[in-house]
Amino acid sequence: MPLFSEFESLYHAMVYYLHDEISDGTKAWRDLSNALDGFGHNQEFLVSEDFQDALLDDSSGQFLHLFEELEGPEGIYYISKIKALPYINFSTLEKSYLRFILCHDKITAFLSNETIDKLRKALGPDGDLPSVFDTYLQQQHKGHIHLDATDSAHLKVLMTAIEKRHKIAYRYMDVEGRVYQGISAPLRLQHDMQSDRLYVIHFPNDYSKPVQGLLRFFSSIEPITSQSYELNAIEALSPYSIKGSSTVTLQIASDSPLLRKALVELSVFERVITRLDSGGKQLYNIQLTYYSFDKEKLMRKIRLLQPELKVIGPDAIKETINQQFSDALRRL
Amino acid sequence: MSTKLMRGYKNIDKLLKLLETMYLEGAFSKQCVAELLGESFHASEGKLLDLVKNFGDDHIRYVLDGDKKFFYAGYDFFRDLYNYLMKIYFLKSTTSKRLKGYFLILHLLNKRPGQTTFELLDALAEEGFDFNDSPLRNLLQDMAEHGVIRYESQGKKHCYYLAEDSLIGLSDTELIDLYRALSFFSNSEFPYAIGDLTKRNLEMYMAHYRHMHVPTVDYFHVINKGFHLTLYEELFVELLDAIKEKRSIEVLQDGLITNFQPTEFQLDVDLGELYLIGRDHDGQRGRIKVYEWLHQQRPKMRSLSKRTVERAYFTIKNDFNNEEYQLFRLRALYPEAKLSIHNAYTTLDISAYGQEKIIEILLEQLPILESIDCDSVIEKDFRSILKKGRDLHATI
Repeated sequence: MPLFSEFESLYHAMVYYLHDEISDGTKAWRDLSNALDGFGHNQEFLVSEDFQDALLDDSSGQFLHLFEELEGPEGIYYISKIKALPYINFSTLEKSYLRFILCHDKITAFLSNETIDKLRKALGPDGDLPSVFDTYLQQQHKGHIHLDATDSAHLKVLMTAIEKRHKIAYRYMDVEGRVYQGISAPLRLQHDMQSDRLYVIHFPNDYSKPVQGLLRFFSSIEPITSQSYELNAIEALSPYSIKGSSTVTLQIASDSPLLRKALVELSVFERVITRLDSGGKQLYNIQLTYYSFDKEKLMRKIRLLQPELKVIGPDAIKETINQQFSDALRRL
Repeated sequence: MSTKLMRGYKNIDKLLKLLETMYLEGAFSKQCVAELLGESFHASEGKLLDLVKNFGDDHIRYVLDGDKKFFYAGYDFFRDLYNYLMKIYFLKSTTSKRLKGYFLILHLLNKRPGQTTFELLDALAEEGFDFNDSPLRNLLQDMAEHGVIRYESQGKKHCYYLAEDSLIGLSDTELIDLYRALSFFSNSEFPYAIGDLTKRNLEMYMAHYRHMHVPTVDYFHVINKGFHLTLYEELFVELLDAIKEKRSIEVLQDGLITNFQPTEFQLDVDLGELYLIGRDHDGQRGRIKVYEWLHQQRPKMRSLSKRTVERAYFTIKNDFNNEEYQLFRLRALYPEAKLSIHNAYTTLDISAYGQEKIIEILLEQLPILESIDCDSVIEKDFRSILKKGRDLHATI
């Protein structure tokens, strides 16, 4: 079956919408036109005028067979002939996806065993069978960090607090044993796919900027339902991101065997890429912005793209790469 | 109503290519877009600019380079990439006949549940709607796969019913938990689009049938370099069908067209690459990079038999200040490696397909690498890369 079904398309959504709009039998023709305009605005789509015309043109006599034409004191109006629309359900593919996540080792961080059992039953006779994604999709080099019962409980408190914009009382111990505690506004959770680590980004009351902490290093997170916050995560984080960012310029040839790999590896950073012509040779010039806490990640990526990716500047990064390679040649 | 009213984007593969370029290269010019889409794309330059603007001014910016204006995408672009893909597919084509048939079938099954295909054909004719047997069966099958109707087999006959509420046994709290789980997995676990469609359906179900308030927050921000994989998901689903039905596909092998029997997918999360694994007509194992379908009609098959499992042992310096963190990181980066921790250093025993992967790991750990023990060819190549990397960045 196709990924995106035609039954989820604009045209089907429009009929569902019209059905909802006129199913009480009180909407007149004039209102139906307005309803279509409303649909376009709701979906951030401008519904094609051709489509509207055809839909509203009763002389074509086709489409409006779904709606019954009646005459009332204020003129013609329409009611839907379809008396009931089906329950919104999952497609075969979506059911497979649900079976796939029900077998994932992190699912218990979100769902209780009882809910997992109920869902398996809800998925019908195939509920216990492996999904096509389990059978035919192998994942390579993916770390699977286990989330224990404490992580799971903290995750639930944090998601509720983020939803309701409630503050939290926290206790955190970093890798060097330093303890931080207080009251804080949880802004969002961050998942690094490569390392499979979950972070909490929060804004403590007694700090002047947001901080990031590893979920597993929190020894306690309690909701404070009496204290709420107004901060928006993106707005709260943006001024600090810009202040802490630096740039580096990199270059790679357009015919390099590592070009695609370089583009994929560097796609986690904000960057501007321009194509240059250097003596008949096509080059990709990559101007990349990174945050100070991402410097080691950037250096690792530059190293593994050697000797195809060249650091143009700043000199400090260029020298560090040169130094690391020279030292390794002496040491190994 | 003419079928042209039902058109969607016909150049979907070209749009996917454009989105891939925007995602991977970050920046693009109007000329670059025009070149990529070619003459067959029926969009004027104005339309292309509209397309760019659709991504939102917050994420698309531009720089001037001489008289050329280069657009580039912001850090949070992957959400736009996906949302835009959804918008394109929202315009997916259908025909007026199937559209009307879909709603009439729902109407008829609501009036009288348990109808067979022939009974439905008669009932549709009574409604003044002429449908042939084969298109009706096809529509019924698609509707059943979509989850709006279900059937019960009675001998060779299928009796059709409207689908029932399958989530009726779950409480509101359990639905919120499922919604949160899908918010996490649809961002973190490929296939992302399928996960997101599942989440959207749950959202609609919660709002329409349970009259629940659906949270509108994004709980998770995911650092993911593989979001472009979502662009290949429709192809992924098509190929999954080919695997299940044991269908062959045409690929290029040494410049010649050959049949390839796909057996499974392999997703390299580190590399952000999706491969299709299978066998050629001689039974030789090979793999194909799925993204190549976007760029050429037939992708290249690369033999897997030439790649061998390589093994390497190496030691790295222990970081006494961050020992726990270092260990945690190593386990996350190399889950299959065997680690032996000693006082001052840790030994890693790693096996990987191909020498490139081994060299990559050595380069990643370079600053703390203490010693290596591996195949002499790998060691020679590694040293050669070290020399070239050093010389490329020589400052004097």
